[in-house]
Amino acid sequence: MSLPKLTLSIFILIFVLSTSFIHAQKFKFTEITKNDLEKTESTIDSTAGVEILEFHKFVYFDVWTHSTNLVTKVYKKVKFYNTNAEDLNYATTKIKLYNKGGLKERVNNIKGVTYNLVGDKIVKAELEKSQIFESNKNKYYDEVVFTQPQINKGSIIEISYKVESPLFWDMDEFKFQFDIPAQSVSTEIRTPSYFEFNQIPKGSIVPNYKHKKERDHRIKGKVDVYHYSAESIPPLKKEEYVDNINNYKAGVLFELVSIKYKNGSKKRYAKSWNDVAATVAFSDDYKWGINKVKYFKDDIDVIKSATTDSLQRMKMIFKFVKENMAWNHYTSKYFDKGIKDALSEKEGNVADINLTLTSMLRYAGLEANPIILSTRGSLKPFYPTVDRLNYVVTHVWVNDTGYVLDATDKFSQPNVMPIRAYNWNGVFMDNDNEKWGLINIQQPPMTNKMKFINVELDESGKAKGKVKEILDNHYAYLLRKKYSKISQEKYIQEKESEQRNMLIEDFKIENLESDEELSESYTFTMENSFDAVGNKIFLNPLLFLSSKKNPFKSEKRNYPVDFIYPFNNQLIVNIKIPEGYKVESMPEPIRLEFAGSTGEYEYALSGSGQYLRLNINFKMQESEIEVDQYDFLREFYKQMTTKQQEQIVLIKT
Amino acid sequence: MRFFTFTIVFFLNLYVSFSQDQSIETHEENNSQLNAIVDKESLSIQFDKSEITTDYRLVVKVLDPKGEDAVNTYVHYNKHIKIKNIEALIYDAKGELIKKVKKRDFNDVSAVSGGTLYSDSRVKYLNYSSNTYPYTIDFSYQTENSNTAFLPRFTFMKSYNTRVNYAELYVGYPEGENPVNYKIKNDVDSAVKFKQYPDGVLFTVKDLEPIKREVMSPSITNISPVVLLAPQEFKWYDYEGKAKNWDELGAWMHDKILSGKNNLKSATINEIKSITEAVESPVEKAKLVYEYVQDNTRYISVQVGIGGIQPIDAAEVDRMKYGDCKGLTNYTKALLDAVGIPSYYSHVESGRYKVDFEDDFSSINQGDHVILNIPIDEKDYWVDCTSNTSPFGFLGSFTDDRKVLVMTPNGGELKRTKSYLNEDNLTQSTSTVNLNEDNSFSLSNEIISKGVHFGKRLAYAFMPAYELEKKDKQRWNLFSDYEVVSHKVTNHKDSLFLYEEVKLKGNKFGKKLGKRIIFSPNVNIRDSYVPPRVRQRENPFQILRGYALIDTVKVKIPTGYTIEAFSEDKNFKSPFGTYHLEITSDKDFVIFHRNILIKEGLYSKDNYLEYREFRKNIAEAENSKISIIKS
Repeated sequence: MSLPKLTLSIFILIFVLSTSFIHAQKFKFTEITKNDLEKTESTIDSTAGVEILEFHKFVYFDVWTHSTNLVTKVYKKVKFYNTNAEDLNYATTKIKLYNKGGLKERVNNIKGVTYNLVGDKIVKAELEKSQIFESNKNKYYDEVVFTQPQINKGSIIEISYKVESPLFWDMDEFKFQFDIPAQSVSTEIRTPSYFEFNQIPKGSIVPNYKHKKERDHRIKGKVDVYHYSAESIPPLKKEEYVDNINNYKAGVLFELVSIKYKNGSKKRYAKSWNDVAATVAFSDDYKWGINKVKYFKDDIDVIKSATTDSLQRMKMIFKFVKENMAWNHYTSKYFDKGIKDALSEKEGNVADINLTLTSMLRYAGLEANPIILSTRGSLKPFYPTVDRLNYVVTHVWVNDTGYVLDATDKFSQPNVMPIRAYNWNGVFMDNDNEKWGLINIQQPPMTNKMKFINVELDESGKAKGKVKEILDNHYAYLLRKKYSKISQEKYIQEKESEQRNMLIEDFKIENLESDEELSESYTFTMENSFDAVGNKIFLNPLLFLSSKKNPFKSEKRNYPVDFIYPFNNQLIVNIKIPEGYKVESMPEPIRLEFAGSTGEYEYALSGSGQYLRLNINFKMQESEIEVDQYDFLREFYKQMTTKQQEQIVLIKT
Repeated sequence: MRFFTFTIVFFLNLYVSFSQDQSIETHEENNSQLNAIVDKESLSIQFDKSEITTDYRLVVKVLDPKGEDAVNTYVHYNKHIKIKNIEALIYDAKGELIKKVKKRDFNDVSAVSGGTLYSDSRVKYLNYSSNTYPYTIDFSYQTENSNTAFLPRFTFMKSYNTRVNYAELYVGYPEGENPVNYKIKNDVDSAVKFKQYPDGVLFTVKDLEPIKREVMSPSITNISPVVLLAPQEFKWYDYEGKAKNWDELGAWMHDKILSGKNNLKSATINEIKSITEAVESPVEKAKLVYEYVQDNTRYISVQVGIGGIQPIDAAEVDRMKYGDCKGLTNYTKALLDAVGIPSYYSHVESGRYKVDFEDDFSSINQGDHVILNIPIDEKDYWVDCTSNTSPFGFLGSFTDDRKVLVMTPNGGELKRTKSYLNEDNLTQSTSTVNLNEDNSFSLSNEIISKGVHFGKRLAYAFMPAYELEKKDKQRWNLFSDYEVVSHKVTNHKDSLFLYEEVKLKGNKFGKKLGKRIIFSPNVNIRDSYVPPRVRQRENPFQILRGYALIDTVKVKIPTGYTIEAFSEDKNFKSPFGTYHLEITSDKDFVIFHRNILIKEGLYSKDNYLEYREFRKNIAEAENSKISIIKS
């Protein structure tokens, strides 16, 4: 027993020396040379207009008796190869300073220098204090902004500052990948050893990682030192069909799990999803606030007496909330107003609405529980986290079937929530039965579209016909939303110009207000529906639907393809060809498959005499396609696009 | 966008565009042409040279979500505008009060628009969301403002499809004085009633019927009655000013606001002198100065206090190498002064739509941007100093062809900026195509762009190659499978045109069908815009500038092929312009020639269908095809 003690104290001595040595040393950028300033393009990405040369963060905790601060020192060196508007954005620094419950973040020691090569000399221009501006943006944060003086092609800027945050449990993501290339990025995090963290890397680039323990004189105790670094990091740019590109940029997330105090007590933040659920479940809102039934008792009693059928009750209450409460566009898992005020003011944040909904459903005898989650706009919660969950929806069991409801959107339906709610899993919280845990709500149900076109062509190229389209789930949801925002006249105009300036008449849309399948129908006339040359006609049987290009242009993709929802599109076109013509040749039928039967495409043309029929079936069973399937998906789309451009040849008899 | 902001913006009407259902006159609450009813709106201003107090109230009934446009519940403020009270009461359909919003419940944010680094202007606003219609909102506020240069422009009808039952504007002042100028505009039906009192003026309207929103409609503030106000004498921070007319206002700007802001250190003066030494002519000197500013500065907007109308000192811009439109214009002016070329700071209303300064009504809140006027030998040159790429003397569609206020030492003067109309805006291309038997091709284009077309494509001259390639892929999207072999762009900035030489090659020129190849010879611009169909047009429509397109394409067909069919000549004439298409053949060549001229103008609503028909004919002709066959 005594030996380890001795070695320990020796180590402590050594560490004390070494840490104070480390901290006596100030960070210095590598010196800027004429060569650096003369460089004209990035070695990582020659097309880049701007490049990060160095980006270092030093993060540590300043622990005092009554307060703890998270301190972040930032050092950044950026090179400008070009000065287009989007490049110049990188000359401006914006620092957001949050405040929460009277605790405010602060920034100080802001320094900025611009280096230019003038003739043969390196000329320095410093950021002036008078050019640093702070403004209060809204009740949640202030912003400090400044921009570097004298930016030219070739300029290099150095920026450094220090942020002190009393919101120490809320650590920003450490980013290693950006929209622009980066030469050298590192982060060093020193945490007191009685702070326990989860560290979760994300993205496809793995940074170098070092971990050691040492003694720190500042907090008079042991610290864990985590060091991450990466070199020559290519930029990651956004392409079609992606949920949130930030999910795929390389970085490390730190989430505080617990703090063990000297008196032996332990404050837990979150370690498992169960802990996360428990933390929220034991908050006042979820324990007490959600039970205030007296403010809606009368209204729900009416519904209760109207029907005893659970599914009916669920639908009626859902409708009641959608019609009587408007979302004020604030997201949160906690009440802003609470059930009483939200109901009387007829508006509220997400929790005001969906927790009221949960409460009403419970009052009506249904098994309803909240699910908390993080929305698409924010990062996917890759690990147990309380803070990153910003949204709540309602889960209901009716006759052993589970439904998810979100009443913040007038057009949402049971199991068809607004797109923002589909991001990852949710945390299911059944307080009564103490059942907490993750629930998968990532993939919405299959959404279906059936389109019928009957068309008659005459020799001059004029087409007359009728279109009917039947949509359900998210297709119907999205169309109802779109339709609510613009007038019918404008909607028809848009459709006309998208579909080769056809003329639309007898437009009808059915079930706009109900939650049944949505159907739309109209008649149309269109000029130039085919190319006529000599005694032949060249006709694309897809008529006005044929101009689609392959959306997957890039040869490689580093993150999944996200279709948002699985879909099934069916198209039937019945064509009557002009009098006096017959078919000379027709495109061959084709059947394409992708990843087993995840994706399917069928194209078949049949016909006799004057009548032809095109049948297309296009189905995608999964909404998310993983990176390793990308090549196949791209090829699948390529073949599909090629097929859709093929023509029928008609010849005069 | 490179706006300069006056620090006070009174009624910044944000018109979210939407249009209306087909008209059906049914009873009021279901009429889709009526989305909101303003029951009462009143703006009462007590004016004194040293202080303005404002009392505002709006009671509006919102009938459906589209009526939310009629609800403008926000107030701008800063160090000099104090909000004394602000309140909103919300009533449900039955008239029961459901919410009372007090001052502290309003959102309070910094009023920084995109592109501005910092502004000390703030805004308090309410964003009430409702799912239940109708509801009524009763919004009111009182403010005090110690700067008195700006008086609002009051629009009685602020949104389409809104009925106004009653609206009033009152301006009060010390008895016997008459310190405020006013002008009533767009009041074709004489809806505005006016009353003069010894201590004030009152403007009222009653029962204004809703105006229907249509596509391509102007902003409602341009077609519904509006009152312009301006103080004759005012105070702006420490400056006292007079603005009875443009002459006085311009003189005040020149003598008070701009004077003493043109400092430059001697090193800079020497530098600009030595740069311009080599040339003799003043135009060449001015050009060099402008290019010096373009090469060395960038646009950054900072709006603090008096900076709303006063530029920061030229010396400061010189040090930072950035500034907003005021700072950069003033800096350029100071440099021109240093080389002995007079130039004048000018206020302009920017944007694609041309807005003139009022001939007979001067006020400081006309205009939102600053450009520089350089008169040399009786000729006016105009430059926008926030642009890093525009050639000397080129304004483009952002500030062209409109009346602006020029601040000269002899006072203010209204002048019209350079216009770009009809044939001024020209794209002319000459192309040669080599078509092979397997449908592959090579295409060589020479393209000249002038006027606003030059402005639009000027960016190509400054783009990195990979960006240009992306643009090219959109530009020649007629072909599905091709590559850009080369693309040379020459910016003839002295003669103000862009010259491009583009070479493409690809695998699919047309459709190959057995012995035939069918292709469209119109390889560059296809002008296939057709304006939307409108069942009944109620307002006139405008073609803002007009343009001309001239294309000649020579296609060399593969050996062994003969021309089977091509479209006959097309000639369309209309009040809106002309169209001419002609295809001829010459041995192995097919020659396509096409001219389009679209004329600017304000056209009557009765011409709309004819215009649409004209554009439809053009769109169809633009799609003409040629068929060749192997013999």
